[in-house]
Amino acid sequence: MAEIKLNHIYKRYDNKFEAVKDFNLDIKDKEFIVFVGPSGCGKSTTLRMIAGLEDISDGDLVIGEKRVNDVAPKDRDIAMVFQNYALYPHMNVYDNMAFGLKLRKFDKKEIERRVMDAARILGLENLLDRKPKALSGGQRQRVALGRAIVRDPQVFLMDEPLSNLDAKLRVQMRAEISKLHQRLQTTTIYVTHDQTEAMTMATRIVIMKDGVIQQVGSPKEVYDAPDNVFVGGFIGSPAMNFLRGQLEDGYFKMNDLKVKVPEGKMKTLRDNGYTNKEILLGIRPEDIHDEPVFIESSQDTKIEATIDVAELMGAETYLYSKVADQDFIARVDSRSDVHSGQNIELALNMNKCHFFDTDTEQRIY
Amino acid sequence: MMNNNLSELYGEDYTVASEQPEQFYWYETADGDRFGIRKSRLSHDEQVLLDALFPSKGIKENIDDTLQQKWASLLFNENMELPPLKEKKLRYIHFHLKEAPSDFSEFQEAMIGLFSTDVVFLFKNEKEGVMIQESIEDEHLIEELEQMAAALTADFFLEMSLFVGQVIHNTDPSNLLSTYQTEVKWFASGINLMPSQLVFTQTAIVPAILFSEASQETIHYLQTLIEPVSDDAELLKSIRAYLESNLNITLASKQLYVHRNSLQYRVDKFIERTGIDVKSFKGAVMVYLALYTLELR
Repeated sequence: MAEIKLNHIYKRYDNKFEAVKDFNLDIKDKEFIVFVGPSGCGKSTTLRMIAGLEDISDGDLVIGEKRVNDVAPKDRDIAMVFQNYALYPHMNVYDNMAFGLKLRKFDKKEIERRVMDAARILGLENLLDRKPKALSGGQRQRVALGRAIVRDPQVFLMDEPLSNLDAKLRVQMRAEISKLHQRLQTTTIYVTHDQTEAMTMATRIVIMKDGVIQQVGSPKEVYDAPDNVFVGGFIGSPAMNFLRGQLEDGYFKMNDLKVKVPEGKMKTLRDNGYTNKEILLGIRPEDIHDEPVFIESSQDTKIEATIDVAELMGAETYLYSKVADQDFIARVDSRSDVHSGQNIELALNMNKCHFFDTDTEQRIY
Repeated sequence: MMNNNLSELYGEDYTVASEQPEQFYWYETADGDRFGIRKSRLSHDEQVLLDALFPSKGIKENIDDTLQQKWASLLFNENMELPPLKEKKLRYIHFHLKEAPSDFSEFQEAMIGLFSTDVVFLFKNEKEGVMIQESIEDEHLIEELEQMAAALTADFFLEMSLFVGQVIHNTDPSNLLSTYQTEVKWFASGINLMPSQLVFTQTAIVPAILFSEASQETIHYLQTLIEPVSDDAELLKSIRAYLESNLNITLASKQLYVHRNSLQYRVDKFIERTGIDVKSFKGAVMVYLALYTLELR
């Protein structure tokens, strides 16, 4: 069992800079937690504090039942996987995986059993005699994972382990790590700046910015109900569109354009005193439609737009345009055959949109 | 008295000298008496206890080798006697650890095992030291050192920086000593300015030395040059790759796993937004230094 509790964790440096502020999180046994955010948001620092590579300035870190703030890293029963392959270049694959166990004084037979088990899980049985130089990038990262697996730790800590791989391999390894987690069921904390990795791998995502947790939730929760503008814009690709306007008579107005707000949402906004006030509307690119059937049934959320750029992505096309002088992107079916410069009709699915306060940037509905 | 008790407790596994020193953990009492206890005999808890009681263990144990002693004598005691050399050139690979290792001999074993050729390994103190490498192989060295530093962190939970020094052809003891001392100073400047860098090379450390003496005003000025793009991490990463690929778009785009046209577009975007022609040598130097300021502490 390896539950991890982070209670009011802070990281302060000598120059008083706070890299992590009041971080609170309960990680359940067997969870796959992903810390995600832009560079400098404190995600790696938090991971390093859990590993014991950084001191905790304030707060409590509990692994299992034990407060481990002052426990030496080697006694925390964790294994780390890094962005760099973390391999000994002149040892073969077997010795690379065995070395950590030798250090911990495991007997030879147990070392062999664990290395062979890990090799089987990772498909490395035929590569045990090879040196890292003779392996591909994906194979090297698999050996690095193997080095962590043989330790059979309570917790895996992974710090951007796929960022050295090319895009195709990254997708493949992403799936392999997920499968590995399903098989081993070891509590895992994974750091990345890539929101796609976070969305596809996590049981729960922790989104961070400037050392502060912005939201914790399942991938679906953070996608469907972002707590604030930052989360809305960070999760999802292409990013959520944000349009500034005013609420008047049940409509969201931008200059001379207006779209009808569903009554349920309007009531909440009215109750919270947003009538006739400036407000931020957030709508995902896939919730802006060009299909005639949808437009037909959504006359009061229809807009006209001149397409600046139409990017064909294969099955989908991204349409870049402006509404009331504000940029937006729509993600439509490629069968639409829209061209740059074309003037078209689009309709917003207002049931899927979000409203944010312009000052606090928190989601209202 | 203490030693008698230990001798009684561990019997044949307690010794003051052995022909197979690697099979023992070695300790030193406050009076300077050295003793060893067979590694296989000690449990983890016993080892922790002995480490706490005899903290001077480790460093001296690893300076038993004659060649190590000679190098230590030259580099640390400034005794101008040339250690025996196999080659006519050598280089120092300096290391710096954030924390002292709990077991010096295992750490040394791991470090030496990282090289395909012989190296002389010396701890200067609990956290710093140097490896002297005579057979110099440059191919993949930096990449390998980065991997090795990460592997050591994973196995020992110790974070390490390394500095690969210059190839020294003049093996006169005074030159070997002065080069060592200069590189130690440079390495310290580099670590101070860029604590998260794993491996320093000469090309990376020279700007660090320049910046260690630069005023805040100079650093701020350089930062303002790239301010218009400072929040675009992907663009900055692309420009850095472009510069480090000797302004070769094809090579840099391969490293970034992007199409060369995409990188070309990013370079043009950088020029348009900053007004600096990064394709020219002078512009590239200025941008390189400006990018460097972003890594400073």
